[in-house]
Formats: sequence, C-alpha cells, structure tokens
Amino acid sequence: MASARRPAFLGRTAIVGVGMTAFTKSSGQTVLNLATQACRAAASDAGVSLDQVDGVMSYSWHNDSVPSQAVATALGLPDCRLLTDVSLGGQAPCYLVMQAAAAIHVGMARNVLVFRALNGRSGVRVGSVQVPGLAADFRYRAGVSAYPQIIALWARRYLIDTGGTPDDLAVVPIAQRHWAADNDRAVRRSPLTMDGYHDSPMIADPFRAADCTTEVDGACALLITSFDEARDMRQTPVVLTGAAYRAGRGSGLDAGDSSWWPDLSRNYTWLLAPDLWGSAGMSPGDIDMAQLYDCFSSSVLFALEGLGLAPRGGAADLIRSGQTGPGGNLPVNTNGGLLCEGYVHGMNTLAEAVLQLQGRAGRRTVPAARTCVVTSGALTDGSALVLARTG
Amino acid sequence: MVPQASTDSSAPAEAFWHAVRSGWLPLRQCASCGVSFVVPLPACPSCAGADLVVTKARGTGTVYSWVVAHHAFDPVLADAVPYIAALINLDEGARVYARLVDVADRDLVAGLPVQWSASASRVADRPLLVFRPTQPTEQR
Repeated sequence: MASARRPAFLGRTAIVGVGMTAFTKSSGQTVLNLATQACRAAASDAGVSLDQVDGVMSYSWHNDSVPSQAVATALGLPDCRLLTDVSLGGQAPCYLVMQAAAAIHVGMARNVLVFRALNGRSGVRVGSVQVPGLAADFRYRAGVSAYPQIIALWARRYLIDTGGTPDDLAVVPIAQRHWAADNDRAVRRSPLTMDGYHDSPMIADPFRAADCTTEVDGACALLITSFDEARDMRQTPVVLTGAAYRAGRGSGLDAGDSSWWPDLSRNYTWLLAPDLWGSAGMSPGDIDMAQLYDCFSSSVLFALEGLGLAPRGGAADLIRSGQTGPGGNLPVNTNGGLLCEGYVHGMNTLAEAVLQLQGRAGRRTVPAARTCVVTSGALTDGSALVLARTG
Repeated sequence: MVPQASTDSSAPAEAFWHAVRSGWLPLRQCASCGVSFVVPLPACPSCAGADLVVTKARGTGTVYSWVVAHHAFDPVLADAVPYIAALINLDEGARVYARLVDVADRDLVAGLPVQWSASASRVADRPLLVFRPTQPTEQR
C-alpha cells in the first residue's frame, strides 16, 4: 500500500522498557507514588538510568492524575527537555507515543517516559466523572451521564446496522477471558460462558457488567527512544512501524459528545485505517496480532472491522471462529483486554503489545507474532500504532 | 446532584433552556448551507458559516439509537431507573440527546417517529428534552 503520509520517525524510534504497578481496587497510595513507581520500573526495565531520561509525557481525565513535572521532580530527573500533559482519555496512549517518537526524532529529547497513573477505582472514576462543557450539559440532562451509556448508544446502532444480536457483544468478553486465565495481573480471570454472560447484570442495555471494563488503581509507563540507542539497551527494541491519529468532522465538543458524528455504527478506526496502513506500508493481512482498546466489548468489534481485520458485521464471527483466542491466527487482546486486566486507560493495552513482541508475556506469549496493531480510543477520535519486533 | 461545573452557563445555553421552559424548541439554522443543529455553537459545524438563524423546531423526529439505563451513575437519577435515553434525529436534520418516555424498550425500533413533549421536561428542577412516540406503541 503506497503512502504519501509516512511520519519520519517510523522505523527510527522504538519502545524498549515497560513498567507497571499492581492493578488493585484500592492502592492505598497517592497517584504520584503510582506514577513514580511505574516510570522508575520502565526506565530500569530498559536499562536506562534516570539521569538519561530527559522527557516525560502523560494524559489525564479532568485532573485525575499528576503532572509530568511532578513525576520528573519525584524521580530527580536532572535534564528535562520535554514535559507534556494532555487532558485526553483512551485516545491518548498511541498518540502520546507518536508524539514522543516525533520529539526524539527531531532531537528535542533522547529518552522519554510516557505514563498513565490513576486511582481509577478508589478515587476519581473515569467512567462516570461529570465533565464540564456545553455538550456534556445537554447529554447529562438526558440521563446520559456515564461512558457505559454513551458507548451503549454506539453499540446499539452497530447492532441495528449490521443485523447483529447481543450475543455478538457477548463473544468479546467470553473470548478475552481465555487469555486472562494466563495473566496474573488480570482482575477478571474466571471463565465466562454464554449463560454466565446473560446472567451478568444489565447496566446500560445493551451493555451488561461483563461488557464493561473494570476500573482499577494503578499505573503503567513505557520508555521510548531512538532505534540507534535502543539497540544497546536491556530489552529487545519494539520498532514503531506505523502510526496515525484521526478525528473527523463532527468529532464533538468533548470526548463523550457523539451528537455530531454521522454514523454511530463506525468509529474513528474507519477513518484512521488508510493513514495507519499507508504509514506502515502494510495491509491488514500483514498483521500477526492486535491489541484493541476495549473499554467496552463493542469497541473490539468496531476496531476489527474499521481496521479491515474483519469484514463489516463480521467481527463477532471472527471471534467465534477462535482465530482471536489462544492458538488462533490473529490473537486479540492477549492480556484479557481492559475488560479483564483492568482499566489503566489503554496504556496497559499498549504495554501488552510490547511485552508480546519482546517475548515476555509469560504463558500468553505468541512466539510467531512479529507485528502487532494497537489502538487507543473507542469513539470519534483515536490513535493507533503498528509495532514490529526486531531480531 | 450534578456539579455546577457541568453546567455551561454561557448566554446561548441559558437562552436555549429558557426557550425550552417557555414551551418551544429552538433550532439554529445556517443561513449559508441550511444545516440545522440544536446545541448552540457559535458557527455552523458543517461550513463554518457565522450567519445563524434561530428558528422554532417542529419537534418531530425519529429514534436513531437508544440506551436503557438500569444503573444510575448519577445519584440524582436513582429513582428514575430504568429509563430510556436516546439520540433523536429531528426532521430538520439535527441530532439531539433526549429522554424517551411512554414506550416499552421491547417496542422500540430504529426510526420510530417521536414528538417533543414540552410538558414533561424537568428532572430535579433542571429542564431536559423529553420525546414520546408520535403514535402510541403497543404496551405489552
């Protein structure tokens, strides 16, 4: 696939280190402590001393985290050249790694930590925090006050337009529980049957509790650097091979405003796919594995179809066929996804991709996987990366 | 209670809800391209035209999508669950979040014709948009 839009950092920058805290219902710690632990662990994992880290980037949702500056101070970083905080939700992880890579490529910084930290269970809960703004006011008055409700409107329209049934949603958590069984970090690890799914409490019809992620306390960080420096580090570099962020016309007045988006059965992944595959010089058939942002079950179906990994209306059948599960041709959400591992806002989705390509995902490791697509976001805007293993 | 921070107190929003309280549904229409919308933006979201005319919506439309809320994430809605929240396509072309009443969720279908209800438009002293089916649906 030819491309006129290939960011210059592709092939020249890499993710090397991964750091995570435990994911719990109550950390008993400040968000600054969690962030600092994850960042320290990511640098150490890469074999980079903190003296060599000169950039920190993070995202937060309406003041539920700490500034990068605070983390840089707590870590004693002596030479910061890049400190960035953005107020974004799940669309941010791949997007921030792209921005870190761009900054590294143009010489603004050498070694950048990208982190997400939150007491998302015991503190501010992303799913139901009430955001300010004109569109939110209209939405809340109607009773659409939380993300399960916002995204249920998309899931419903998807099922209408594709002729699907609630069982098409059910196959997502059922399949991902198979992966979660082998993930010690996962909050939900017990097997889920179709009957078990239908016994799960209805939260925001068509979403049952089993369709929704589990909010947790925790932090996750990655260390990004140039490919040249990465080759001398402790872990195998995972190279950025494709990258894109897209928002289209009518992406809304805030991240939950879907009232301007023309087609709620297709999210940003449909817009982003040409940029993403073009930037990588690849097509969906070249991909060995996918880690797809799954705050809710439906967003996996949207991304599989939007990226061209499954035909329109065919994502649930792909999952039913077993191809996305252990031993399948296209493993998807091998940590159990956010649905099972816990909601560290998609940063852990990206971390799983890196661990897999480095061969460090324990019993879940898919040795044959050399390329992985990762998405960040579920609604009108979002980002994605194609990552490749080296060596 | 909904925190104060979630209320946009800008003059256009206040004017909108004042109109709703007065019994009419304001719609902004772009004088350049004709696109209509409800949330009071300063310019047309389709062509960026700044010449906007406020008109009175007919109040009729169809159901685009809906969610049946069984869990109240906002405590103020604890007594309201289960309720139906929907995206309504107004006949003028705008899409708006609204509450849907007088219909059982099993009778709901995409494209169901609905009518704005000026009389039932308040929850916890805050006005909201409420629609009901234009024709009564079968109540089983």
